[in-house]
Amino acid sequence: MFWKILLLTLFGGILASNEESYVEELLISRLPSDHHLAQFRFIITSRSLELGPNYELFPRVLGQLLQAHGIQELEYIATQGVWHSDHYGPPPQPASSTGAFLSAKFDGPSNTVDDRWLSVVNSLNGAFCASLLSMVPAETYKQKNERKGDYPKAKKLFSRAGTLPREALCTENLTPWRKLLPCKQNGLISLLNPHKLYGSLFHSMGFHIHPECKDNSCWYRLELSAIVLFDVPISENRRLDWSLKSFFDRPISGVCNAATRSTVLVHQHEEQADSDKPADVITINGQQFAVYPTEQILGEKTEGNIFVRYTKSVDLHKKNPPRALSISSTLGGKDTFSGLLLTTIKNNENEKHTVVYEQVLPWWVRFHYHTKQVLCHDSKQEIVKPYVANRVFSGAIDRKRPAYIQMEIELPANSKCIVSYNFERAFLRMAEYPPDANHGLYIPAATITLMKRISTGLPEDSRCTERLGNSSECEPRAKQMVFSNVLLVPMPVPDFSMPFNVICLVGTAVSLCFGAVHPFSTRILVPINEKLPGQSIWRTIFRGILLVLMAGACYMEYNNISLNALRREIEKLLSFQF
Amino acid sequence: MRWCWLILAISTVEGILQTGLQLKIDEFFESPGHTNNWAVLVCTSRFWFNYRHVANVLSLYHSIKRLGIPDSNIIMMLAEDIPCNSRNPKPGTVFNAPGGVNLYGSDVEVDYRGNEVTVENFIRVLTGRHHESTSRSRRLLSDHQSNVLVYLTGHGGDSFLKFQDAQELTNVDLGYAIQTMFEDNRYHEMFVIVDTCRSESMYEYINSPRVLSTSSSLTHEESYSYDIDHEIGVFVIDRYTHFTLDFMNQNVKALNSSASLKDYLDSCPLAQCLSTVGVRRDTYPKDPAKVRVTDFFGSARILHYIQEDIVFDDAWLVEPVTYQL
Repeated sequence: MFWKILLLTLFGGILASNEESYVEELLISRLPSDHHLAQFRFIITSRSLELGPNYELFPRVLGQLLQAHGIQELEYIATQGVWHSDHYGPPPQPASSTGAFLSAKFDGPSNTVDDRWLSVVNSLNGAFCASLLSMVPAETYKQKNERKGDYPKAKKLFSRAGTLPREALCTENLTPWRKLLPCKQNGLISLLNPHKLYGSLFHSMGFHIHPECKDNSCWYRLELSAIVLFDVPISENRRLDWSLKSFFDRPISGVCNAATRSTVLVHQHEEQADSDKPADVITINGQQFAVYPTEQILGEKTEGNIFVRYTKSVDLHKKNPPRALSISSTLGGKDTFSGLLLTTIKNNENEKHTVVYEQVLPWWVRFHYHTKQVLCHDSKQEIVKPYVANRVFSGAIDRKRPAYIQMEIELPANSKCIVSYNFERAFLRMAEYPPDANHGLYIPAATITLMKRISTGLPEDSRCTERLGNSSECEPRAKQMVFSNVLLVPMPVPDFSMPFNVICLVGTAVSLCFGAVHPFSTRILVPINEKLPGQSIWRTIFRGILLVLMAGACYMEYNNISLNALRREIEKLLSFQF
Repeated sequence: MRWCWLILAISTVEGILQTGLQLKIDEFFESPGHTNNWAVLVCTSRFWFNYRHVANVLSLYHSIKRLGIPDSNIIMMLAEDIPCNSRNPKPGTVFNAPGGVNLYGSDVEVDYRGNEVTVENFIRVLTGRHHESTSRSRRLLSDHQSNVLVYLTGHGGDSFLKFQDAQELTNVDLGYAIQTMFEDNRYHEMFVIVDTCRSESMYEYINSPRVLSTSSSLTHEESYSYDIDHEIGVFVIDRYTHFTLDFMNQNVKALNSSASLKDYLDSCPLAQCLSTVGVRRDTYPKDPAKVRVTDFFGSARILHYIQEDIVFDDAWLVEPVTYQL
C-alpha cells in the first residue's frame, strides 16, 4: 500500500509540474446486430506545442516526426475486414476503410510539402513495419474535406493524404503501435491479444495527433485507438454471455501507473441480467454505461476479468431492421477494358440527410467525368434527381496523382441513391503490374461524411467519457464518416506465363522458317545473274555456322543441357587452355 | 558419507577435465575478427502455398535472436502476409512443425513486406543505397567489423532466384552486390545461405574475399520440403532449414557453444536432405572447422581495444537533412 501511495504522489508530482497526461479506456457495447464491439482509446496529451527535447509520456518517435517535418495534424489508421454499415450501423470513429489511411497537415513553405510528405511516409513505414511506399506519389491526394483539430493561429495548412486498400494489418504492426504507449505491458493494453484481434470480423488500429487549445494554451493530443468487432459470442445455452477472457483469451494484467484514469466502460443492454458490480453507472446521451476502474477489475474477486450475462437466449433468425444509413460499391461492365463504378447510398430514415461524398480513383482507372450520374429512388420507387452542391474535382495525372471527387448530396427521406461513372482501364507498363497481376488492383472505398450525425448511442468521442458522471449530453467533435467497400478491379493483363512465351517463340521460329521455305518450294526460280549468291564463300561459311549452331541446339535439347550448363562447359574449356 | 566424498571427488575431476577441454577448444578455434553481427533474412515467394518459406525465415530469425542478434541488426523481408492471410485457419500464427510453437509472436519485426520485397530493395539493402529518410530499421548499417549472414529462401532455378513470381535475382546480380559491399567495406566476413532448388548456382559469381557460401542443393538438384500440417493444409518447412535448425537447437544452445561451421555444413546429409548441400570455400580463407557457428548466428559483442589515436574527419559534423520550416 505504501509504495502505491508513494508512486501516486510521485506521478502526481510529475503530472502537476508538466501537465502531460495519459488516459486509457475500453468501451464494450452490444450492437443491434448482436455483435460485440470493443473500442480501446489511449489518450496522451503533451505539455505544449513545443515537443521535446525531453519526452515523458508523449512518444518520442512521433514527437520528433512532427517537429522535423512541420506537421500540425497526423493520422494513420490501418483496418482489416469490412464494416458493413447496413448491418452494424455507422462505424465507430476514427475509422477507415479496409487497408491503410494516412493523412498529414503541414505548415511552413509550400514548395517542400511534397518532399516532406515522402519523408513522413518513409519514416512511418519503417516505424510501423508497414508497406506504404507505393502511396507516393501515385496514391497521394489533397484532402478537401477538413477533419478535426483546432489550431492556435489561422495558419495556412497543406494537406496530403493517401489510402492503400491492399495494405495488410498484422502482429508486426501492432508491436510498434503498442510501443508508443507509456505502459507497454500493464493496463488495458494487456488485453490486446493478436490471435483474437486478427481472427475477429473487423479490426482497426491507428493514431491521430492534432493540436487542441483551451484558454490561450495549446497542446498536442494523441489518441491511439484500436477497434475490434467480435462475432456473436454464443455460449452453450445460446445466450450472448461474455467475459473479458472469452473475448481476449486473457485477463487484464497489472495497473498502468502512468495513467491518470484507466477504466472499462460497459454499455448497459436492456436484456442484461447479471454482471460484476460496477463502481459507478453513468449516463451519456441517454445511454447507461457501467464503469469499472482497472484497479477494481484486478481485485481478488474478479482477477482481471469481468463478465456480463443476458436474460434471453439469442434469436438467430431475428430480422434486424435496416440501419439508418449505408453505403456500398459494386463494379459493373462486361469486358476487361471498360467498366462501370456504382456506389449505392441508402437512407432509411424519415428525414433528409446531407452527406459529403468523396471518392479517390487511382490514375489507372480512367473514368469519364461526363458520365457521372447521381440518381435517387424515393420511397415510391420513383426516380428523383437529388440536390448536389459544392462539387470538387481534381483529375488524375498518370503515375503522379489519383483523381479526387467530392460533392455534397442531399439524400431524400427513405431513398436509395446511386452514384455512377463509366471508366476505362489503363494498360500498364510491364514493371507497373503488381507481382500477382492476375489478382487485380484495388480501388479505395467511397466515403460519405454526414453533416448531421446519426446517433449510435455510444460515446464516440473520448472527450464524452472524460468528465465521468456529469456528462449527460455530449456532442462528439469528429465528423461521422461511413465507408463503402474497396473494389477489386481485374486489369487487362498481358500473359506473363511460360506457355505463352513458348508459343510466341515457336510461332516466331515457324513463321521465319515458313517465310523462307514456302516461297522456295512453291515458286519457280529462274537465275537472272550468272553468278548465284549461294556460291559466295561468305554465304557458305555463314550457312556452315548456322548448321553447326542448329546441330548444337539439337544435341543440347536431346541431352537436356541448359544454356547455363553450356556456358559453364565453355568457361571450363577456356580456363583449361590458359 | 563415503559415497558423498566419492561423488564430490568425481565431479571435481570432471569439472577440471571439462575446463581443460574448453581451453583446448578455445585454442582450436581461430580468433574472430568481428565486433558486431548483422543478418539479412529474405523470403522471396508470394502466395499462401509458399507458407514454408516464411516459416523457414521465421525459424532462423528466432534462432539468431536467441543467440543475441537484436532486431535492429536483422533485416527481415517477407513477401507474403502469411500470419494474417485470409486462408490461415489460425490467424496471427506461423508454425514450422505440426503442433509446434507459434513463430509469430508479438516480438517479430518485419522490415520489408508484401510488394516491397523486390530485387531492387534487396540490392539496396545490401549496398546501402536508400532514400535519405529510410528508417534505420530498414538499413543494413554494417561496417568493416561486421559479420553478415545472408539467408535467401524461395523458388530458384539454374542461376536465378525468383522474387514474388514476377522478378528474378540472378547470380551475377548477387555477386556484384556483394562485391560492392566488399569495396565499400560493409562486411568483415559473410556467410551466404541459399535454400532454393538448384541453389548452388546462386553463389557461382560471388568472388569477393572472405565470403563463405552454402546451398541446400547442387545445380542439377531440387530442394525438398519436409513437414506437412494437415490442419493448415500446406507444407510448413523445407528439409534443409529443418535439419540445420535442428542442429542449431540441439548443438548451439548458447553463445559459448563449441559447434563449428563445419558441423553446421554437415548437419543436413544427403540421406535427410535428399539433396546435396553445396559449399564454396575458395573465397573463405579460414577452415570452417575452426570457426564457431556463433560467429555468424550469434552476437557476442566482442570488444577490441584501440591503442593509437584516431582523428575523426569533418564528415561527422555534417548535419542531417532538415526541411526549412
